[in-house]
Amino acid sequence: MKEEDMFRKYDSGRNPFRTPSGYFEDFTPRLMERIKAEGQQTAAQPAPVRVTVKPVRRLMRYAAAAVIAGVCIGAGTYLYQRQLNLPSPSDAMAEYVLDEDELDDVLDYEMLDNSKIAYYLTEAY
Amino acid sequence: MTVLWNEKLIVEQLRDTAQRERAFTLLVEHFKEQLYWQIRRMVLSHDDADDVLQNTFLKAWTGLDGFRGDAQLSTWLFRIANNETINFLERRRQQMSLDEDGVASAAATLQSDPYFDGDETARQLQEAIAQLPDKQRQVFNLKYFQEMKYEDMSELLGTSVGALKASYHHAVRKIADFFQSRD
Repeated sequence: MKEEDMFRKYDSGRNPFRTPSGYFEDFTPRLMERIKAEGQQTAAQPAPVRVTVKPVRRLMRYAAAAVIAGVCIGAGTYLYQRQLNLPSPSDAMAEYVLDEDELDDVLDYEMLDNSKIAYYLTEAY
Repeated sequence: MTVLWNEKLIVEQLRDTAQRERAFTLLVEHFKEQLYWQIRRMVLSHDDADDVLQNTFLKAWTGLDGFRGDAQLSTWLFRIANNETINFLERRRQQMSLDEDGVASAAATLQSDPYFDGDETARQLQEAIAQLPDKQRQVFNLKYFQEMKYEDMSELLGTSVGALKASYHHAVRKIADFFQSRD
């Protein structure tokens, strides 16, 4: 016995669902009325507001956009070049010049006297 | 008055704005009962079936320009009705309380529907069907009540014949289990 035959006994073969009398006869005119009503409702709704921009204002917008784009490009270019032109650490050291006060401080800190300095300068060291 | 159905002519008239409304009226007349019963077996109550059927035809009306004629009108309408039904069931499920399952919901719906006059066994069969997932219910209803061929069902639901057979088999098994557990 097929499985669905097991519950055929629950199915009398009669459709247990009913509709109100005249339902199908009334359905089409009722639906078409609704379609017309909804169509009129849609037509009666104000058209969506479109924001129109006057030509002068449009030009100003383009100009503002161009200025912003120019600033961005300029800043980007400057930063890029600056990044490329950074001196190496050794160059930075070579260009660093001590003034006299700083030199005295260094000499004091290292406890160098004039004889030691002369000694270093003669390249004997 | 019986109007002969000429699908090709109806499709042409639906594309013509001057004849569209008349052609659409004929389309509604031709398909309303078939679609109603397809929907009713899923949603159970008459009021819900009426709502879903109206929404189906409204969607069809507003989507007429999108109908390219690749499929038959019946297939196109069936798919719209199917989507509307599934969406309706989904919305109803979201409104259901957490402790209410498909069987309890079906029982309550049938109880309150004055247009269901089945006896206790018919009610039990509907409750057994209501426990199935939507897709299985659809397949079961089409096969068991409407005796639709799997090939036709495959075109309507966009599912392979093999998957439909498996789905129907699972549905039958679950309904049989439902009755065995109650006997």
